Amino acid sequence: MSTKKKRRIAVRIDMTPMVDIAFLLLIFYMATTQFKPPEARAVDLPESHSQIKLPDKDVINVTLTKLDSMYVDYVEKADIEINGEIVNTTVRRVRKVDLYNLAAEINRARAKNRKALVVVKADKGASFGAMQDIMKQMQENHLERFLILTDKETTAS
Amino acid sequence: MAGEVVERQKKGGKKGLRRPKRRISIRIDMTPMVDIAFLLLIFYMVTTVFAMPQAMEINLPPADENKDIEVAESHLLTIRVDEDGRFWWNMKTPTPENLPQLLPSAVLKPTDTASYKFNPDTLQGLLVALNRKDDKLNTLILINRKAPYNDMVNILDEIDQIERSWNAYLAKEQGVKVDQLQKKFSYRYAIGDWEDRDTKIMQAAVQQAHERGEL
Repeated sequence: MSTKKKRRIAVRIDMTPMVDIAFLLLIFYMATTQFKPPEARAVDLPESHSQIKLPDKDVINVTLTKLDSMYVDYVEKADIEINGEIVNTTVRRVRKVDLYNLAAEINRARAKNRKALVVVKADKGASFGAMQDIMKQMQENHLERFLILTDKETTAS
Repeated sequence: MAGEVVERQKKGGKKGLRRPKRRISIRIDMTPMVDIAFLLLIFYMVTTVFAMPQAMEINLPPADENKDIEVAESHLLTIRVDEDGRFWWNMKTPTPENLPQLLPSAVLKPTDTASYKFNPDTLQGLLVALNRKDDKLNTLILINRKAPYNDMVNILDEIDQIERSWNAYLAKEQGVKVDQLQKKFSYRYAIGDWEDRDTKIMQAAVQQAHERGEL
């Protein structure tokens, strides 16, 4: 009987290293996680094998939804009044646009940030016609170079 | 009830042997903390998305230089995407004898093998085969306005892949890096406007495909 009791105590494992690793991973994930910025509308992206990474700042997003409605959104520095105090902070502006004021809205965003690049984020179910109209607008406003957002295609290339 | 009993026993024990027992009682039970830590760990591991979206670069020709470019008819390949997202191709300008042909499997599928990839029934296979045959080939892409935008991305992606693999091959042959290539292969293509005559051409082509039993 006494030998059996001793054995049971010996089974105890020191959990310290495991907990250390767990905390290490926890801190890593907490530090690296970037939550998705709020989207104007949910968009189901098409897939491509492209290897270009999306820049994480200085972008003007043009969102084209499945139902062909368009939104322009961008982050800018602005003075906002909070509780009577004026604070200079970054704000995300989202505006619903149509074909006629799309270019004006992009130009307004570009006036505030000359480095900004236009990124078109279109749903794969959007009609090609709507995209063609956007491309025509870009061309007429001398914004020939822009990016289109896609998901990474996982099949063999 | 059981808890009370245990507490009483503990208190009783403390009164009896003070110093050694107190030392043991300093030990904190770490189990709840570790539980929370694991919970958070699992949460972050599940919600973290490492695959950030990819971007494709589009370079449009400037509007003021948008003149008509003359292309010899014999070097012209036209890819048409109809309303239903079906792909059609033909060389030269379509005539009743030379109607667009249906591309059986337009884009590559997840199960694709190398032999399937270079099958001329796929868009990539067809484009590679025709470009090998004719180094002055120009591709005109016409997409119906009602076709899904996805088809445009697919075509551009296939062209992008052809350019990349072609340049990788050239670089390997010359024994240099891709960036050091003297003359890079760049695919000549244009996206045109879908006009009424294209709708008429497609009607005839669809009829022909029905007669042949392809549709």
